[in-house]
Amino acid sequence: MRGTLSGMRIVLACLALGVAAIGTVGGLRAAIQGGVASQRRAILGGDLSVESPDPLPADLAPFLRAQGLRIAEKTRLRSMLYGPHGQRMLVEVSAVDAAYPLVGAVTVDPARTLSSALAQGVLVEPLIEDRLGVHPGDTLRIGTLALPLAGALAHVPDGASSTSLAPEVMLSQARLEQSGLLAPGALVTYRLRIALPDDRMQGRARRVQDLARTISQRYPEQPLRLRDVQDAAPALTQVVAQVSQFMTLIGLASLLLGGLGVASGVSAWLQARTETLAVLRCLGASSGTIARIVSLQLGLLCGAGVLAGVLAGIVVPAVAIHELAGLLPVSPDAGFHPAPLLLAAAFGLLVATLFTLPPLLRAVRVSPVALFRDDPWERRIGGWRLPAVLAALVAVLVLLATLTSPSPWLALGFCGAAACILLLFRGAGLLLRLGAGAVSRTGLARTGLGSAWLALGLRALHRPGSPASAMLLALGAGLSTLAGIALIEGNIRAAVLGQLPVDAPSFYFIDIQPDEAARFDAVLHALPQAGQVRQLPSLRARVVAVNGVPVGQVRASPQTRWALRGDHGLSLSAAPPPGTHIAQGAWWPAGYAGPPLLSFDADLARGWGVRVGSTITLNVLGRNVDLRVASLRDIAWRSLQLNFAFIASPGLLSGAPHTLVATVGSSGRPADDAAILQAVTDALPNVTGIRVADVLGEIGSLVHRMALALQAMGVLALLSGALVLAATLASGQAARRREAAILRSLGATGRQLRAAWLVEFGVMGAVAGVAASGVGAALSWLVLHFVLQAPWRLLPGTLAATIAGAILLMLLAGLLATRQALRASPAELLRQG
Amino acid sequence: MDGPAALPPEYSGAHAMLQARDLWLTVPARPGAVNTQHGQAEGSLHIVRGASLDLQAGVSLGIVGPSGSGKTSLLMLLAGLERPSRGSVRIDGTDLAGLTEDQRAQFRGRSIGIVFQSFHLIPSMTALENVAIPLELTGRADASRRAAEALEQVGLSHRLDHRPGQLSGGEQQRVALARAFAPGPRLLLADEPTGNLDLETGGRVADLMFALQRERGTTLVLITHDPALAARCNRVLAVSDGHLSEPVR
Ligand SMILES: Nc1ncnc2c1ncn2[C@@H]1O[C@H](COP(=O)(O)OP(=O)(O)OP(=O)(O)O)[C@@H](O)[C@H]1O
Ligand SMILES: [Mg+2]
Repeated sequence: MRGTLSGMRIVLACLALGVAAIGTVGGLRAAIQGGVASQRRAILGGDLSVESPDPLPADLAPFLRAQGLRIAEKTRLRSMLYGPHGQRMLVEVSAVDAAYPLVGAVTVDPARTLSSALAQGVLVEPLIEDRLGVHPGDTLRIGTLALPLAGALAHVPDGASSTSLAPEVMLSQARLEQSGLLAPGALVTYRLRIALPDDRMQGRARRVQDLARTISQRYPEQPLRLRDVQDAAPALTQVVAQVSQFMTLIGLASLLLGGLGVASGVSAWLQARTETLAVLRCLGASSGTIARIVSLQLGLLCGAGVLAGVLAGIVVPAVAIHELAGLLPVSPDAGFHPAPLLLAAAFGLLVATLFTLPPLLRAVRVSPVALFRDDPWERRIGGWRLPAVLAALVAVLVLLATLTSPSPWLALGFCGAAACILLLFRGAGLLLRLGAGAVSRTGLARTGLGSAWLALGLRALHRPGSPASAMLLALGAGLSTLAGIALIEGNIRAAVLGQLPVDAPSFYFIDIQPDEAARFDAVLHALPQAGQVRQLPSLRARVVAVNGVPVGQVRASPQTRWALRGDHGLSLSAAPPPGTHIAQGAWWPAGYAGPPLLSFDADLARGWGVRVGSTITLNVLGRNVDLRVASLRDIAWRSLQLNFAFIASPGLLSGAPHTLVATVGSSGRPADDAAILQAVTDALPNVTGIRVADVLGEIGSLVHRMALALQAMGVLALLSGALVLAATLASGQAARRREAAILRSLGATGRQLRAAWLVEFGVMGAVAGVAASGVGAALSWLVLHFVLQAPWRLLPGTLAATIAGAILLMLLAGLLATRQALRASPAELLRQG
Repeated sequence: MDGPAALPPEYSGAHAMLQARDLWLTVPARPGAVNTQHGQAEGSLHIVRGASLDLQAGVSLGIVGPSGSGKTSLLMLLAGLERPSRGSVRIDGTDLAGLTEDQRAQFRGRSIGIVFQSFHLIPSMTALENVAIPLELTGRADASRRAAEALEQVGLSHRLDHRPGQLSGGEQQRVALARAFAPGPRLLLADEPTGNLDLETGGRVADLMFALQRERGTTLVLITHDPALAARCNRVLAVSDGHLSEPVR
């Protein structure tokens, strides 16, 4: 009774865990997306946002004001911030006008109005105060400006509207203009937000659309990016959607895995009632009556499990939202979100039905005579109806998973992978059985003294009714998920951080003015820590036409379409920069001064249908320039060298105002890098240095944080697997105990029995581990290759950990089962018939 | 009345195989199951009450008694599967009380064959594998061959690869017997070894056991309800209400 009770508890737990996981992920996603939706005007900073890499048209603001619209400007660029003692860091500078923010409010610490704070000096994110160790009143320097720190930015309403790798510094627009940072060629984003005059919501979306159309028609030449509230926080929304998509799928995986636990728990429960059911049938109960009684009981039980999961799916997100409140750029919507809970419950009920039906029908349909015979492995139910019903349930499950997923193909791929994993572990189980049978039949088992335990252990694996394949699947599927996630994360981190080319630069310096180039070189030459220095001019350019076809009508391949939009770096060079690899055509001769020629990225050229001799029209600083393609270059972006997709011959463009960018090599040691940064920025305060290691570290920690969320779900899958393992073990525990008693009556010592079980569980663990690391490797390859399109590498450490983990977990399970089985008194067990 | 049973004169020279001294088996009476018939005031149940027994090697002993009188319990005590609450069991000169649980198991594997009343075959193993286990446990290389021979002796050579669930009650009983004698124990304890068999098969099984006694000098302790089988034993003792004594004829 106790055994079956705990088996039923496991059924409850398996269902509850999976449903809770799916419900929690869905609830969190709904809360964050709800938060974005309800605050999207504040996040966007108005009803419409206009963005451009070039200064906005001078007549735009008057034009908008004339229509009675409120506008605010915010200009952003990357720069260096200096503390009073020369401490420095890379920051994102935001310059705002007096109207900012149109929606919501900036909270300043210590409390005061934004305008009074900005009148006094600059505001910084608290992170900057920590990092530089500065306090309000200290003097900070940006470019040529020295300003007092007025306080910290406790809350910025439009913080989620764009992603940035550096913390924010806010100052007034007037001050930025004095800083000297807005030199031509600087990477600046000019942003203007528009708020409709009244707060009535009717027709607002229409009016915003009309306004957007008017603006883009008025400035057809200008690369303006227009965003309305639907698109308020694109990066955040996308990350949340993708991460939650993966988490939901892993949650579904743990629910499916839990289904196995449901099946084995229900089987054990029914087995304990087999005799009662048989007696009832002999006494005249129809199989229909019995089916109704049993399915009512099981239905209540599964319903309770699903309900528990749903309740957890209400409570956990609420708690998590409370905990996460400070960490997210938007405050999540703490309201009640029934849709994800309903979906989770639907998944739970489907899985419960799918896995309860076969054991239920087996118990109900079988003839009473067969039930009384003591050979449970002979009981099979024929007919096509059960397979048909199961297939229909699976179809509904797949459909539900696919239709409710933001990317149906990924969900479908997941279902396919789940089916493959199931088959694979079934196959591994079968191989294990056959292999163990073959080994125990041939000589190995009978080689003489002491090997009885080996024979017993191996035989336990291949005999009928052995739980080996169920246990393999239970443990293996959970471990595969975890191993797959670890491999994906490891590979991404390796791609970001590892295998950097030996001569990769340590620094990028941007915003070097042409008249500073010589001084820049001199400073670095005098510095022993600095390695190779390379400089190239940098201009901003935008594609206007390709072979005379306007950019909007160019037929580009999907992979290269993005490059037609937005602006690019354009460089000028008389000679090919070191490391250039020309795929087609030839570099222009030294001293060439004819019509401008272009050396172009070979990959983009292929996607755009550009060949040597084609013409590309670029807009440089408001002027359209036709460039003839003279050569195509293969660019190794991973080299991290100064790679420009567009390099033009110097002639015509060399007179255009530009800045220089430079790369500097170093040992990579933090002390050396600090010395280089200090020397350069001391000499040239308006030059911005970006340390490659810091950027990569930032990206690495971002990847790590996302992987952590997925890993948590992977652990959940493993937990479901462990539950299933426990359910499977519990359902076979009575037989195990009885068998132990019989073997002891026949002369087996506790040591022999323990050794036999060690063999049984150890072999199972090893097979599960090998299979799981194989499946994990395959999963990670699929995801990296097809979804993330990143290179894949086998990480032996992760695989070894998977195998060791599997063996360890299995042995632990075996140890617990064995200790319990050996604790019972043999006489008592043997007295029972 | 509880004293050692008198030995038949013809065995007085053989060495003692089985000596039981004042064996008691007392279990706590389960709540609601207090057996007033036994007069249990203190809440414990005496299942075996001071049984003593001396058996010379090569002797066959029949034990009879009504259902529930304590025969199976006595057998568990003699086999060392149950620790007596009081008293001692000495088999072939070895005091079972002086052995650890594992040592007792090994001792059983070497010296004692047991046929359980409800067979206790391992349901997931074939007949052959069931019979081979005790042989394998003692590390015999020819376990499989000897198991097959033993099954042939009980007339089951055609059912080696069937599992217990696929065998009839009588067939299972014969598998259990084959498992008990295959390792060649010096003492065979059998709890109703012919209980499920028809007259003829039962007779053949009995013949086999007495042949073991004759040819290998195996000491037999047979619990039976069958007066004819009891009559073929050298000695017969009766159990009644936990007491072991000469049968009342
Ligand atoms: N652990 C125990 N707890 C309570 N009662 C027990 C225990 N073990 C045995 N008994 C009781 O002791 C009595 C003797 O049991 P035993 O199995 O030895 O009888 P038996 O003589 O073999 O009967 P049968 O001929 O029916 O096999 C029975 O009444 C039984 O219920
Ligand atoms: Mg009995």
